[in-house]
Amino acid sequence: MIDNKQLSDDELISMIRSGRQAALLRLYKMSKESVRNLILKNQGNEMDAEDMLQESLIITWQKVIEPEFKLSAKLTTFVYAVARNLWLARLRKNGRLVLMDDDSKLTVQVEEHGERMDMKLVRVCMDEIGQTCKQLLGYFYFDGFAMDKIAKLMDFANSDTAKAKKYQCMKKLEAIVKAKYTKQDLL
Amino acid sequence: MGQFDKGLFEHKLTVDTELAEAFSLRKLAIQIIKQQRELELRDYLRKNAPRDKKLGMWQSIFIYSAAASVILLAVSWAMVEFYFPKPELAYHYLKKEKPKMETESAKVKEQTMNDPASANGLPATPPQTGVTSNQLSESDMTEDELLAKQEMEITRPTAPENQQTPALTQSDVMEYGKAADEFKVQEDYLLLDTTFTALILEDLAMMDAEQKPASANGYTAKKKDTKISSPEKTQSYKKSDVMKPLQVEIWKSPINYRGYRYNGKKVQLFGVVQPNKAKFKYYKENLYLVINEQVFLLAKEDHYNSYWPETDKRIIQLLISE
Repeated sequence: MIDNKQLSDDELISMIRSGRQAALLRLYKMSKESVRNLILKNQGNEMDAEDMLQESLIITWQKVIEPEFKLSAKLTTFVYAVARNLWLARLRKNGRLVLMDDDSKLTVQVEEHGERMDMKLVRVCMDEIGQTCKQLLGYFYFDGFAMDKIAKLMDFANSDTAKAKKYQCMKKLEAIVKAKYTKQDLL
Repeated sequence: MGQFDKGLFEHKLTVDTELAEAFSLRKLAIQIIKQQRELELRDYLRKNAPRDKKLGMWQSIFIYSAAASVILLAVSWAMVEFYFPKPELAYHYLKKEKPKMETESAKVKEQTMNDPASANGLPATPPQTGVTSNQLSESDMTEDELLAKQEMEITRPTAPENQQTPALTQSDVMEYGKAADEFKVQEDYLLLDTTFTALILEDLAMMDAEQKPASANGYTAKKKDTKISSPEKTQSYKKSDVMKPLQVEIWKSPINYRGYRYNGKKVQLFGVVQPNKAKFKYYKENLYLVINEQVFLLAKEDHYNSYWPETDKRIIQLLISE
């Protein structure tokens, strides 16, 4: 539950870095109108706008949790820049005429997503390893949290316990993935 | 990992298939973890982000119908307010003191309404049985009286007897004040303001007993002669040679009220249509109105009274003859 108080960018960054998803929702509300206008003015529709906004927010999340991240503009401007680059890339990819109607000066390097995996398979694999493993591996590989922080968040005795648990979870996941993918897929 | 180590590792991957397989497996697992987390965040946004709600067809119809009904009602109300006058409210229930309209209606209630003399422009005679005019049948009333009664019924709604008057608050008084400003009452108007000379009649017997002239309302009459010659000798009264001036106002009430008020100095008469035929006479300190061979006692009181005919034949004869 988040209140309607206006949060500063530093507060939002702090929330993201501590894994609080409420920050994402707040950023969503703050950036929605500008990203929506950008997409609708540039050959997109409502669905495209919603998709771009969500993707921009997740990329922003990933960027913010990187230790070397430094904010050079407002966080909403950053989200807008990410959305702009993503949409530009998608328009180029689809061979459509690119007429970006905006005055954004900020450019954010956005890595193109590699080939998307079968989401159904991803869900099946992760569901099989259990909730604790799913959370622990997410914290480590996606959010980039250190072991002592993970231990604190997940009520482990210490970072060694978290490390051991992480090793077990990873082995478990690899076994599941190995069972579901052929050798050809892996190589 | 340095550049050298990275190159060495890549080389190992090309030669060691098991290592390459394990590496690919780890890479795939990490990719799955990241995509899972990304999915979680997307799900969170999908569930919690505020949506622009679009109304369904029936919802839209319902809302627009309700809005149209409200507008229609408002327009109807405005039209009714504009074209039809507001009903008069009984504000006097809010006030302890009766407002003017109430007083006028009360006058009507008190007055006698079934007197044939009224057709001749005479004041109404109250019923001898004590039955109020409102209890008389409508067929016996004149047109004016019927109108007066209808007006009284409209302007004075009857409240239950056991109903207590609500306590008067400051806001009630303010509200009443505002209402009273808007509540226009047609007022009585003065037809004639003149001074009559009232004849003073005195009883001889009383004069003898007191050995002084009788006074009427503080006025001392000057007697010239206490012995009265025939035929006046047979009567027990004498006519004073002094006339007492009396201020008389003839009023017309919009509700055709008939009655009077006499405070000892001034007489206010309502419902007298032939004031030139009116005569005023004092007898035994009482003031009488004599008009068209009818005699009415005018009692000295602060409030309004109905005309009450004198029943004593001796007094009637005395006052009419003089």
